[in-house]
Amino acid sequence: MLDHRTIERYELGWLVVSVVLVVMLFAGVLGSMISETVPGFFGARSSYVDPAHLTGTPFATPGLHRNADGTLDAYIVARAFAFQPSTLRVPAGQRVTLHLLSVDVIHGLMLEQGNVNVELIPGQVANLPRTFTRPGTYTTECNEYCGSGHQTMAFHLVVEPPTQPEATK
Amino acid sequence: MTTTLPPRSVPDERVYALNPEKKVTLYFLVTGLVFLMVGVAIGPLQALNYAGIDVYRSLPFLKSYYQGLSLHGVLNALVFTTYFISGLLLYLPCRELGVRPNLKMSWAGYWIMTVGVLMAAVAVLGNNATLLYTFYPPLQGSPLFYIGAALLVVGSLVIGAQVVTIWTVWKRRHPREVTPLVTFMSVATWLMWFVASLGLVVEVVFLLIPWSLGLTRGVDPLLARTLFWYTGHPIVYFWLLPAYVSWYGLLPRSAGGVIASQTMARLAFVLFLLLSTPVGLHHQFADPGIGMGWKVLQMLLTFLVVIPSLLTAFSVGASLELGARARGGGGWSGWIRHLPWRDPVFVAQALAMITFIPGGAGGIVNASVALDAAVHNTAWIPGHFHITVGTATTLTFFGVTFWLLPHLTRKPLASRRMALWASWLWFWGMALFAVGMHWEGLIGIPRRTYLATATGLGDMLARAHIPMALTGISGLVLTVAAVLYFTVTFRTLFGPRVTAAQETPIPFSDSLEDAEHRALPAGAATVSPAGARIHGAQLVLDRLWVFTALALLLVVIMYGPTLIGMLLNPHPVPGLRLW
Ligand code: HEM
Ligand SMILES: [Cu+2]
Ligand SMILES: [Cu+2]
Repeated sequence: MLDHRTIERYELGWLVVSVVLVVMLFAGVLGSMISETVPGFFGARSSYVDPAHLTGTPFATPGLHRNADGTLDAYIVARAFAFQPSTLRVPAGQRVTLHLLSVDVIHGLMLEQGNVNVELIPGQVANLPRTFTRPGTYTTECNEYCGSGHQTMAFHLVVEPPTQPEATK
Repeated sequence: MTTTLPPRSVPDERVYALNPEKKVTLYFLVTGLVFLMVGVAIGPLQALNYAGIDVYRSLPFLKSYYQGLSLHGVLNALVFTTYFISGLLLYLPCRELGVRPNLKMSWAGYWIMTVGVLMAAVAVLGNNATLLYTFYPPLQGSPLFYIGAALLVVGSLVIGAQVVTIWTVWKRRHPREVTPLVTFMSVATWLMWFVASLGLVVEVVFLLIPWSLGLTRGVDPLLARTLFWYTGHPIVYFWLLPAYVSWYGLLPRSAGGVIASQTMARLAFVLFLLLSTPVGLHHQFADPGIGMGWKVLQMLLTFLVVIPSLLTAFSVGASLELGARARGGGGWSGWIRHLPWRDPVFVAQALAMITFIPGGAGGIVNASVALDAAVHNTAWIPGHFHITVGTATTLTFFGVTFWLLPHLTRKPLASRRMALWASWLWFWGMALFAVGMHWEGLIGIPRRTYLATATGLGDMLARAHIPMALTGISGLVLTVAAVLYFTVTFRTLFGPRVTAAQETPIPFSDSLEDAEHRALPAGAATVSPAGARIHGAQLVLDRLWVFTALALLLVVIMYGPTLIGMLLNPHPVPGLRLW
């Protein structure tokens, strides 16, 4: 029969094993973040735009913007129950910074295969640098309950092969 | 305040005569179960919706999938749990310490809670609070809903204050004694809930109620979300710890064993008290506007909460093994057959514990910043919490009712067989459910979506046929389980009474330390050096107020800068009703 001291010795051993496991877990996750498995965890700043006054901000003309230096920014506005644009075309293999903004209630967007998954909180801009590599059309939809039309709030991402002419806006 | 009971003499045939707190406990439990019955009734409709079968178009009493889902989430996760826990964690410490609670306060807690829930129910049933159980602003519901939610929490705090008062009085009268285990665990749970409920109380009382009454023009949605999840994470420990109380303190006796280590049980609860609250940001990994540094720090603390759960798994496993070996079991795993597999009290809780193993593992995935991005807001999440709160907690509570309702009412369990079937079917139903939902989540199927009419699923749908069918089938299995469970429960409640001598006892378990201590030869020193060390450690752990203060300090460090930043730079937006 086991007495309580024997059991306690085993249990202390188990406590040590648990602590080691947790430390390894933490190190593993930190490693995956530093190696950018998921984009935008470091360096991506969030910013605020007053959702009642988009005029004068790039969100007034949602879509893909090509800057003078050739970099790409995509502006996406979420509003019950649609995204603007509802189809975003981006060139494969080129870094695009996504800027997402909700102007009414909380919405959410997960870009499949892209490791992009954000809550869109009114006014809080999510800025996510991302390079899409695999051409194709990806359909997804708002993933945070936003009202009776939530299930119809679809979004399409078209990643175009690099040879094709790139869409601007 | 509280009164110490006279020693029990002749059993009294009036059921509540010696222990009038039995009645208020029974009210808490049964009211909670009735609300659960309503909430659970909607579950299968949701599961069918996942299987592509849309029954919502022809339902007269629900305006939408989301109204149904609001009822399901609020009644099951918030209302049922709070009632049940308030009853259980009031009753057990009172009986263990042999004191009577202040009955006026206990009934006040019950009625505050009930008035609150009825107010919220009017709002949700009238389709005026189709906000889901997270009620994120700026979606704006009827003030009735928010006031009702606040009263629900206030009711639970009244009961918590009762228990903490009882314990404080007991401590004053027994200064050199260690608090008995079940009371210790209950008080730690209530103190944790005091710290944890602050966020929700502040959110509802200072932001949502004035705003829904039209007294303020806007609410900062990010601030509200942060306050919500400040409570929203530790609330899961408020659901889980009462199950742990039963696993640690009561189940060993049901299994014929003893508690393997009281000290470790106490250590686990102190760790929960310290670490449950300052970790809520892990629900906001996907939120813009919150610094990455704080998210990562809180992720580390979240991982640390894994440690007390692993301790629990060890200790409870050891207690059961001791029980089985005492009943003649042997070998590496042969003892498992010698557990009381015909006793529904044991079976329901054992199955609940088994279910918690994948539940906890999935929780580690959700808590990892990097992995969370793959599952956040997908069907994976409801898959996860139906095997944690929906089974580890709920099925444990079912097991508890199998002895507690007979104990309180002196009416024996109506059918052991039916109770066993209900437990097994709930277990297998939730297993199927979890496989289906986790799988869908990995494909990308969103949660909280009226899938039957969704337009943005693209080619995900084609890949999710099998798991979606699993969800549908699991809904049917769970319906049968629920019908059996509620049948056996209500047949018990309306069944015949037995005499006081045949009352089902409370299975307070003995512990190995105490049993060994008593087994010492009469002449031996009353306390061995090892025994003295353990006693000393337990007295240190008994200083729960100190640990509560530390818990608050940790909260201030982990949340202070983020919350102050939000308060200094508020971004209120107006409310909207979009359903
Ligand atoms: C018959 C048993 C049950 C079935 C068939 C069932 C089914 C479901 C389904 C399919 C969903 C997903 C809805 C969606 O995301 O669109 C759901 C959500 C949920 N369930 Fe259950 N459930 C059952 C029991 C329970 C129990 C016992 C609890 C808790 C104690 C619970 C708590 C919840 C919560 C909190 C949600 C989330 C609501 C939200 O996201 O707003 N369920 N349930
Ligand atoms: Cu939505
Ligand atoms: Cu959590």
